[in-house]
Amino acid sequence: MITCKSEQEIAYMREAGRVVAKAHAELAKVIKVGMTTLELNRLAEDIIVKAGARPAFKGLYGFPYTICASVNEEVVHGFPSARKLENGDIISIDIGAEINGYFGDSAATYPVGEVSPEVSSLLKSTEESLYKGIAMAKAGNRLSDISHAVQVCAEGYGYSVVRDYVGHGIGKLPHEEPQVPNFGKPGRGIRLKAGMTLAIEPMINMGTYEVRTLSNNWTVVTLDAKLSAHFEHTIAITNDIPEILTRT
Amino acid sequence: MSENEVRIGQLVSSLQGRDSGLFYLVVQIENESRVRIADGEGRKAEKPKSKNIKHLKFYDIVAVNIFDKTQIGKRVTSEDVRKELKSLVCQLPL
Repeated sequence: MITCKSEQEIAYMREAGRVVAKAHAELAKVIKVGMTTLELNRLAEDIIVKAGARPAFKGLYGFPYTICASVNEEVVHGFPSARKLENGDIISIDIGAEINGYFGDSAATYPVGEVSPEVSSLLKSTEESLYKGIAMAKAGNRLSDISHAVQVCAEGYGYSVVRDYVGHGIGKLPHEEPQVPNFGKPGRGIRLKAGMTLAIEPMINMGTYEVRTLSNNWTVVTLDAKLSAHFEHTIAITNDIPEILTRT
Repeated sequence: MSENEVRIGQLVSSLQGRDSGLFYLVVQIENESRVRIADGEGRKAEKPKSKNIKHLKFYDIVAVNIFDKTQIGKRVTSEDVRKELKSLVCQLPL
């Protein structure tokens, strides 16, 4: 059921969001050429556990790791590995944490070393599309107003929007109702209310929007092997501007 | 049927309205008294119909695949709903 969280519940989610944000901030400082994504996984887990929280993704439907680490054409659910990051790579890191029974979920795509202007543009545009979506997450708006804003922004830059994976409600569970697509016509779906908490997460591709899943049954890659970027925040809808909970 | 018993992916049939007798799957639980339903054809997953639970008959059959998709961030499509609905309706006793 789509629930509106109380002030206390949002306070708990703010705490979970801060843990996730701290993990991102620390990882951002150390991402460099030669680093492995397993090292990043270990670091994120240490940070989350030391904060008194629990890694939200580990064991979720059998997902084996604390973070999703998706490199280059990997869209989401990439497995951390002994793969060493190379100059020019991009890495999308998705982190979730639970504390006091409430969840936070946030993702960002980071450049490794020097990236081309084209790649830099993909990252900036994807992040911008996230904030355009968040701006529409206001009480009284419809759910698809968020979706439409993300799509218009990303496609305006010439990129494509992944359709197979979506944002979601979040709170006492890592994935709650409703699903929040990143595309669609405005003015549809449920009416947003203060207290609703959503994870908005555009996944934007340089080439086709189509994706496929690898044989590990988790990692999603672009069908044309072109790059993909991913940004996500957990937000609370208020009677004013939405509050981003996954911030330090 | 109370809200607590309603599940995403649950098979329902309409008791009231122009769609009386038609089968759907629950794709969203709005609140204690309303759900959103789709059949993937006349009523697409992207634009599900809002219905009062009093106007629905609930069956003890659930499309688990639909629920599982929502738990890994995968979009539930009209094709998913069509396939699952066809499979679940076949499980109903004659």
